[in-house]
Amino acid sequence: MEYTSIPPYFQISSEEIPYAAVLRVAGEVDVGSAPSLKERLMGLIVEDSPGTIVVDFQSVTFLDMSGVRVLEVCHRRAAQQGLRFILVGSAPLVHKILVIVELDKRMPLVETMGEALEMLGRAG
Amino acid sequence: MRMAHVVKHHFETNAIAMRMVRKEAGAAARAVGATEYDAGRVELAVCEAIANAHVHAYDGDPGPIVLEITYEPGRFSVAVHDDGPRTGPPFEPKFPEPPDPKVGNGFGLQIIKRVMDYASLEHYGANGHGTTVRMGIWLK
Repeated sequence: MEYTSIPPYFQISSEEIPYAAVLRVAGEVDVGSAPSLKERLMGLIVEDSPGTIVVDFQSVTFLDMSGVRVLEVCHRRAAQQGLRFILVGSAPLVHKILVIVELDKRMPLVETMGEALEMLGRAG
Repeated sequence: MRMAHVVKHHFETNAIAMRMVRKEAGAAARAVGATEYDAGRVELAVCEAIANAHVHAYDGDPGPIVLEITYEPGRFSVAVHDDGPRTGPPFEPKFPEPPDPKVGNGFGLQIIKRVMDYASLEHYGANGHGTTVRMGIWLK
């Protein structure tokens, strides 16, 4: 159910830093935009990926269950590839849904990129 | 006299309509005094209720939904009505207990229950058609 005929309302960019690939997401992740998030995220989870995938959600303003499922599927795939998956940040309501579905118990969830980098430093 | 102000939207479940309607529900909540955070709660719950209908009432196909928005002094309510036959296991008109994260079903309703101040489910029709999710927030 991806949107195909309205202007995009979320943005994704990626970069590589030492020991990690970072995917920065901004805007709204819902049933229409979740497929794009999944495609980009799965694209980072490949054999020659750095050891960690960092998903920066600090600028995500809306997240529904379709977005949560993408995070879960990609987290599982990353684990299968031996990669670590860190989710960064979340607006209060985004954080609430992550807690309700207990995603915070299944993957590292930190508030800032600084904390994520600290985790990377400890691992690297 | 407590006056209820009601607005209804009729639409079919598809991604663009779902986005438009959840945005309208959030905007309506803001229009009667809800905070940004509370309007966000409304948007999220409406989104999950429609997604739930899309999957369970219409098996992922487009299907008719009526969204009813009601403002009364002190509270803002939303009802999402579908007209679909439920698929899968027999439908219990109640919110599921916290679901098993490994199974992954039932979270939409759990989110509605947890983010809204009140919520209920109604199942109607002798032939098993039609479900309504009612929910709302208290306005400060």
